Amino acid sequence: MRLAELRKTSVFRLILLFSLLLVGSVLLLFGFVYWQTAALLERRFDEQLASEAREIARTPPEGQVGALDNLIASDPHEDWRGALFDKDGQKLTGNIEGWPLPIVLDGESHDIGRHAPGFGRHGRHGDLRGIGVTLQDGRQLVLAHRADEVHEVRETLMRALAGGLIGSLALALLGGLVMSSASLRRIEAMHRAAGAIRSGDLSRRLPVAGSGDDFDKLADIVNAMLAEIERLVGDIKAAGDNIAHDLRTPLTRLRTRLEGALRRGGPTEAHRLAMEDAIADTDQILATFKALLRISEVEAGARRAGFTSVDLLRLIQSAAEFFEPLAAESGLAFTAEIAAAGPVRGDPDLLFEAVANLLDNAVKFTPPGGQITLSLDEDGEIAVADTGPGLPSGFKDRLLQRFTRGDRARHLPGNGLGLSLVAAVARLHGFSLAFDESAPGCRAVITTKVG
Amino acid sequence: MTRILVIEDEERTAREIVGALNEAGLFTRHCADGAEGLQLALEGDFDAITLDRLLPGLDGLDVLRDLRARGNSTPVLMVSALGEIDDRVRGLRAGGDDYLVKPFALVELVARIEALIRRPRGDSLEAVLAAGPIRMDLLNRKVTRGSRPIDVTQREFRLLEYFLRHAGQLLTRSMLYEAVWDYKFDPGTNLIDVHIGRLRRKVDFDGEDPTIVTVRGSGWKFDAPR
Repeated sequence: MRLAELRKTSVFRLILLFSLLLVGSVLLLFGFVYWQTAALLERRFDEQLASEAREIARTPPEGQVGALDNLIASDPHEDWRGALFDKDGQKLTGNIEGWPLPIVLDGESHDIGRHAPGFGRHGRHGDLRGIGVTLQDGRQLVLAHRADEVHEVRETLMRALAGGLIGSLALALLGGLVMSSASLRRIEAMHRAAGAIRSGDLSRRLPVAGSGDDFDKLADIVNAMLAEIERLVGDIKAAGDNIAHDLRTPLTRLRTRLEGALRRGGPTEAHRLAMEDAIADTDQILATFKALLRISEVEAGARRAGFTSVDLLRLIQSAAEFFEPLAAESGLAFTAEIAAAGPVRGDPDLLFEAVANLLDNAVKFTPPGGQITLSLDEDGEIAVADTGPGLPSGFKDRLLQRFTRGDRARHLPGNGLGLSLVAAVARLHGFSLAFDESAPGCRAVITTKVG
Repeated sequence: MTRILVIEDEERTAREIVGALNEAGLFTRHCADGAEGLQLALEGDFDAITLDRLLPGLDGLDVLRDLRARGNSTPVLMVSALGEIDDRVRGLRAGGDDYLVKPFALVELVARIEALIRRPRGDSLEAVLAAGPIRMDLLNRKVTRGSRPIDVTQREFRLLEYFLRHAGQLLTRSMLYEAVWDYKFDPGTNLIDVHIGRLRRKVDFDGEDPTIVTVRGSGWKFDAPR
């Protein structure tokens, strides 16, 4: 995994942003602590300087020399530096040299530095901070004290800040690297899976870690889509196979017929008959195509726009009237039991076609002497019952798939698309289609939604 | 002289259509472009037009709309590879008189053109329709052949009426179905045959001159012996 890739991951970018925020907040926090601490220390220090200076200033003039000497003498570490000058600037006492000194007599504390002239080099003097005061009688008092401690605390704080900052930044970046490389690994795994799917393995799925995180949710969504696509592609393939199968037979027959007619030669009349047969074959092939296109049209759902109020009573009556002669011709008894059902919303032509397909099947599969019953009840339930052989077991599930035909149907005209269309029409209308296998025969029921 | 304008861009289809129409004794003028076709239709005196739905230059529907907008009422048979119901409705709404979906049988096209040329005259005005020995009382819904009354169902009555109005013309299965049944769908071949067979058994008894005759492979014709 290259760093350049890592840098581009959203997790890494997020981590980087958070690192910057972290640095900012650490800086603010430490800065505040530093500022507060340093200011407090300095204030304390300055107060001590000022109070010692005040102490000496309050002492009567004759005692001031003694007081300063006392202060210096009582300081074994030589932290204190100080001098008392008369009003002409002559040093009266003290452990620093005379003027000029880098200090102003304003009664305020100032940093003097480590090697300030006049304060001497002897002893273990570090940084000094001092105050200069003009006393009442014109005397001048200069007091200074080692300020290393304040500076040391300040420096320690600064070091802690820098260390903390570097540490937390390093941690954040490391965390970012680890987390983003983890997410990158998962994305790479998904990428590999997607590549396999793209190259044709539709049964592959995106990996799911099982933690239920965002990646898993995304993978689940994509996997559900893949399952649907796999199903559809499977359907198309099955339909394609069936088309190939169902069209190859009549096409082969057509070819053989034409070839035979060509080989046999003979009178024009023979040719004419062969041609007529060939046209009949072609018509059957075209009818199969047409049925396929119609199912696609219905399944596309565009017809829903043309829904109107359909008079079921009239529709079923027409269907009965339309099929009764055919049933009679096939030696079947035909009964219509029609109740007054309310209107439904739908496409009258498609509903008629669906009912016609069911009746057509019933007529086709019921042996002579049988009975076909078309019924409509008050609840809008349309049923076509016959006394045919019924559905073969296990056939029901496959029944609604395109091109499925029972073995018994192989020798009968038809393209195996009739029930697929009925199912598609029912789906389009939101009606249910069921097959009741109560022997004898088969009973197909379309349950409509009246009202 | 009956003249048909064939507006069709596909050369082979056009040749077939022209050939079939000529064979049926109709004169034709072919044109492969929509705009040119519209011009011809407006200038020439044609008895019917076959109009392809998808044309270069000007779309078939636009040709039809233009034609109707200019007051030309020549019967138009739309021919289209677009077979969905919506397309059919659009075609008829734009002023088409009939609609035929590719691929089609040439006899179907000729039969439909013939039907367009010889459109029945004012049907609702007549009270009695007669052709040959058949007489239909449209008001009382009675049918007689000579003196023999024929008992027909309501649907058979409509079927027979359509036959009589188009006496002498070839009527295909789909033409009969579209004319008599109210729901649009494509019934298999034998359903219509069964209905016609039934009607024929009622109308033409053995020994009588047949009036409804089968035209092999194409449909039926009402032949009125005079």
